[in-house]
Amino acid sequence: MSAVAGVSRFVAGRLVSLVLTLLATSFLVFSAIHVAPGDPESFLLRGRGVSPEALAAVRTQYHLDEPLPVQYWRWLSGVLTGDFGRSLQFRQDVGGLLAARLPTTLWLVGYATVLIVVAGVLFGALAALRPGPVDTTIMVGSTVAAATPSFVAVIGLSAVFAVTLDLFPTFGNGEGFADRLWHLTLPAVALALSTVGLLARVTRSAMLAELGREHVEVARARGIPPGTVVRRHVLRNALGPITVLTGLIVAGMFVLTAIVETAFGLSGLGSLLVQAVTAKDFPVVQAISLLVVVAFMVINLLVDLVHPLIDPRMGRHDSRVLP
Amino acid sequence: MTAVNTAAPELVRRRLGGRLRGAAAGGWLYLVAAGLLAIVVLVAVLADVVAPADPLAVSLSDTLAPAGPDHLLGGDQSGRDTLSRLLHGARSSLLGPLAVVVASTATGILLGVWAAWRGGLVDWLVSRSMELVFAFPGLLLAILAVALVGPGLTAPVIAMAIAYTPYIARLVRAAASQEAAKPYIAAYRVQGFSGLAVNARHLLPNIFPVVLAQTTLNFGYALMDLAALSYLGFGVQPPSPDWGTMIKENQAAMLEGAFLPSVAPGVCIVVVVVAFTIVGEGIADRVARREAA
Amino acid sequence: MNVLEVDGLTVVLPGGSHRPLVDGIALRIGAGEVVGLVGESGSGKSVTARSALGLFPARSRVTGSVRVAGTEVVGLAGEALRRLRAEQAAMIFQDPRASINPLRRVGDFLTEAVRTNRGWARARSRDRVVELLGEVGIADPGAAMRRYPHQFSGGMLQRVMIAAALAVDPMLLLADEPTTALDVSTQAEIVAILLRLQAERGMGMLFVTHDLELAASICHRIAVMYAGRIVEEQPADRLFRAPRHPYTQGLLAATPTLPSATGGAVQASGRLVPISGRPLSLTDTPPGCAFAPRCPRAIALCTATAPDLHSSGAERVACHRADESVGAGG
Repeated sequence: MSAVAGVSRFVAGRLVSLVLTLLATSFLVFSAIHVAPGDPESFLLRGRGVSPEALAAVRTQYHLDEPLPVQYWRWLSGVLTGDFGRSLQFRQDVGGLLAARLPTTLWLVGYATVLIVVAGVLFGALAALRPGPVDTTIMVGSTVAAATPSFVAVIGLSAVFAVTLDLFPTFGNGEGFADRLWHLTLPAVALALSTVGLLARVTRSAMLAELGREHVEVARARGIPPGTVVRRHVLRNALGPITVLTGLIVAGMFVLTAIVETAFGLSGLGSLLVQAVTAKDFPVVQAISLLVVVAFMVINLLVDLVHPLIDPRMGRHDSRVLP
Repeated sequence: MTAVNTAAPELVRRRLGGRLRGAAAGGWLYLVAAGLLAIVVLVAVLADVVAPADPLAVSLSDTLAPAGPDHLLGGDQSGRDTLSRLLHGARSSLLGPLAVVVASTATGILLGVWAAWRGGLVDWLVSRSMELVFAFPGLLLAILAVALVGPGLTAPVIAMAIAYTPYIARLVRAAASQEAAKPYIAAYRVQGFSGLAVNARHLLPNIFPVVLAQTTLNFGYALMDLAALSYLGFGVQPPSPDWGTMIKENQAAMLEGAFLPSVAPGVCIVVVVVAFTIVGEGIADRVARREAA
Repeated sequence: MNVLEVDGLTVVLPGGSHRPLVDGIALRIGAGEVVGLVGESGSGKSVTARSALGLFPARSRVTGSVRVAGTEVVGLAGEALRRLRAEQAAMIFQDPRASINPLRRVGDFLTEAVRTNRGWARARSRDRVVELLGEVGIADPGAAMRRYPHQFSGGMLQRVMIAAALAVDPMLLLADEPTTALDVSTQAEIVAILLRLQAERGMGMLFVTHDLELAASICHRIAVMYAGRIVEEQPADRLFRAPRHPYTQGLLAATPTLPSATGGAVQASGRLVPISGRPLSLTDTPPGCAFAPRCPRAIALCTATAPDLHSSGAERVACHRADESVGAGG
């Protein structure tokens, strides 16, 4: 089998399993209204005037008169064309609501990812290369950081950097690039803190494993400069576990934005989810849940696809050996 | 499907490193952490006796009172005694995660053993369902549950028990398949012992330490997630004291410079989670050493 | 001129309760000369070979002198040590698969040394490496450079290792059991390539092996090590015909020999006689000769004091009974 055919079969296999899982998860998210106590109409209209018109509108929107598979199919085909239904709370299309909120969340997640990767790899590499007090200090710090949930980090960070030192704002999205970064700094740090420690620890152990390998000693024996050995052989070979974990962290971060965005008054998808749950606005909850799950799976797929590029021994079936 | 699912089933853990690891595995750090957890549990049980004041007693004159002889950790937004609320708050902060890990560990063991023992279609179905659940982060599942049922601890606890089940089930399934392939199990089966009896007597005791390690670590994660829900206003409802709720209630005061009422519960959460991490890692390392020996 | 001069090299692990890994090693290799270093695993032959690159075990205490092309290696550190490794000496290791980074292309590995240490441009280092790959017998070097290590067999990877070692034009080539991990037919090819390139370039080569017969067939001179010391050193043909140390005699008696191969085989009968007993462990520190417990000719003196390495002409031997044992090898 040629290398190209091997790679495309690998990609195709992953895509098929992604689509199947997406179908299953979206069905779970959709059918949640049938799991709720009471009948779906009154669940969807909780706390709102149950006029015959409202009831009829909800029945039409959710196709409640039809059998469940048909309901699901109609909902899914709507979702695929960007139609997530109408928000009961804002009386506008959910798709438009999400589109307005999405940029802030993407900025926040992107900012936090950069912080996590830079700080996590830096601290992890430092701990691996400097055994003794530096290593111990970083490990203690990362254990505590990993046990600090983002809303506790919010309190600590606000107390120090906003209230005491008055360096960063604690409210609002900001306008333009620099102002946005300034406003998003504390939220991004709060989001990143608990996982920086996780990534640092994985980086450290992956690099220590690599430092003990023979090819690293051979590189040193060949007179390759120490910095180059660390960069080209130790860190490069530790990239596999670092990428996998980074993917998992980013994939899981979308739901944590609910906490951080609420705490810092940012108007993104996370805070919208919290508002929607509070206002019993289920179409919005459904749409955001679906997005979070899709993001989770797509990011994991990307990591799976990138992995063979990092480790050429994986994924390809082109491992024939020359005589 | 995803990297999580294809990875070899092993403990999902936050590893301690270097000297900490040695200390956690056998020594003083493990004992200190375990002792600290015992004290926290004791305080939660005896909250009525040890708390200096009524955690719900509002006193406007004590609003944001500084730490002093009357209020060792000061008063909160509504003049309630912060220390008393912390001590009482330990109850809901620990009971929720306890319910989550008990339910998820029990379900996980049942599903894992069932899948490993029966194999075939059962194994396939269990494995695929676990993969499906993996796609839902625990916090998201809990928020969805609140959206369906309304605020309170019950729905999120059930949702998170479901979300945490795959971690245990995967671990148990792998260990049980390995164990089931060993000759002694076959010998028991030949002698006519039922699958259930063999499982109960021989398999479970062997995989118990690994499961205990994962369960201990899960307790810490569940504590953080449930406290986060209470912080968002979806979990424990005010005025009941809970560490997550307390942070939410006093965040506004913190921005005005009154740190204690919100920082104190934050410190409690971090310390307890660190203690659970150390104890869980300690158990995991003992298991690893036992297997290496 | 000697490309390697080792004098009184002693390497001791921290802790104190061990005997030295190597003890008072003295060894010389001239330009164009192939010297064999033979012994069992744990005899200290690899430690000796690695010392030429300043690769000592972590935290070990090193005394004595190791000079590569006149440069003292003991005590050398940092940039100077790096330059020595990059320019004067190169090493080929036992397991090529473990020695090459599996995640980088073979071309990367081959050009890395000249590009980082000599600042050669991509094209120049590529041309150089393509030429070397041809010399070690790899067909289509251009394609080989784009492949990853897992796409090569062990024998091919060892050729890559040799090409990489030669890329820096070393004066001294250290070969640490370069054929042990390979199958028999590949071993012969690798040895032939090494010898040809060594002769063409006039390099000095230290060939480390546990296979005395292999060493005898390719080396000019052979030093035999036991428990961290050189016990005997002779020109290869003389050592093979007339071993003087009982350990060397035992090694030869335990080696299956085809009488026609070298003509002068000691052992024509074909009966193999293994050396009895176990090698000395690192924690054994006998006062006398380390080989005495296994030696069929040991006398009271042997267990009491360790023999010195006596030189006479081209041969050196450390045995109290060396003079008696001449001609007693059969």
